[in-house]
Amino acid sequence: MTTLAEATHARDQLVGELMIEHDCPEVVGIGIAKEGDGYVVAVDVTENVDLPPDVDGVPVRVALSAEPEAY
Amino acid sequence: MKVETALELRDQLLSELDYVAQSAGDSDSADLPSLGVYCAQDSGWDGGYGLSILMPDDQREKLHDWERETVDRAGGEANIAVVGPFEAFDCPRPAHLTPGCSISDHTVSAGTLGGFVDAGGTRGILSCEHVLGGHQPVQSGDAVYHPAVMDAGGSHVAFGELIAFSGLTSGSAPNAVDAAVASYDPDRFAPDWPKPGDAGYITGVTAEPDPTEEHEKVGRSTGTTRGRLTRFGHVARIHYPHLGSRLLFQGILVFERPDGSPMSKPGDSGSIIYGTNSRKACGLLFAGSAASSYGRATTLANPLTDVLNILNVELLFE
Repeated sequence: MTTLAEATHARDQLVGELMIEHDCPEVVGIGIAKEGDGYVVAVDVTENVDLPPDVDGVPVRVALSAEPEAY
Repeated sequence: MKVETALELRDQLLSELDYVAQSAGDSDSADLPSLGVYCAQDSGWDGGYGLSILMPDDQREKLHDWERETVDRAGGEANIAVVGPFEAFDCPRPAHLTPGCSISDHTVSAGTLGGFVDAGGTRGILSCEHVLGGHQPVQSGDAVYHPAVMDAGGSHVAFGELIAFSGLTSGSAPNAVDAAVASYDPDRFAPDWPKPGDAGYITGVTAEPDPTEEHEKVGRSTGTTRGRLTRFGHVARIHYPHLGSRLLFQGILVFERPDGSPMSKPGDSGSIIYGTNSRKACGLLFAGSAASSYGRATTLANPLTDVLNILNVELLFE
């Protein structure tokens, strides 16, 4: 079972790699989701992107999403 | 009947109506039938003009003789419709501000009033910066309007002015919140607090929304809708059309409906999101994504505790 601290660390790693260092345009958001009793990293993408199934043992869930816009 | 004939008959009858009403024992001219020219080309009508009589339903019996004589004088070319009392249509509570109502800055845009706040002793309303300060450059003192400029058809009224905003930045540093506070003129506008059981009724603020609880918002565009918290601590780049750029945000709460349909649409920004059972407010709605071909729509909110801390305001509940 992944703790919130572990999921937060994994999210920060992915944000750094995919949104800060490389600015992958397909990745529109990365957050944390509750799954069962633990947590996972949730990645929203506009098209399929090759992502690792986990980061340091924290599962990575990928979902297709439109680009978010100010409402 | 020619239109001139109908108008002439109308004028004759109007000059006689006060007498008719007094004869019928009613001196209140507000209950008199209203007269005009009938021009509808419905079945049975020959396309010409006739005398139009809108008869108050509670007066028809009293004016039965007058009605019969009038129809005779019109040569039978009269249309009588029985109606209820006339009254001016207006906004039900035009001088009131309530969570969920339409607001904007002076640009042709629209957003939502989220709630009421105390800003260092000044009463204000909470919404998003891009709603109350969608124009550039944003400055304290800028006027804010209700209803929103694009909703009002020219009847929008300035209810106050911008007093605090988060200061959106397009730099590499992430934005924490998209939020703003405007004052309102208490002599002209009164808060309309939602009552227990009403949509929009909240009793507190929480920094830890429960993913198992259904959440709700009241917005200008989609009204009252519900969804669930699916992600938190979300980092995303949000497209701001009026700025022509994508701004990086962190700490976002993401809400979705189980069937993937939208919980919000453009114009709902500024809505407060709260638990439907706990009535604890947790987020300020500021963005979203359409379902389109992706099958799921998202609603994005800034954590309300962050919003209140950054703007240094306190949310009020009544």
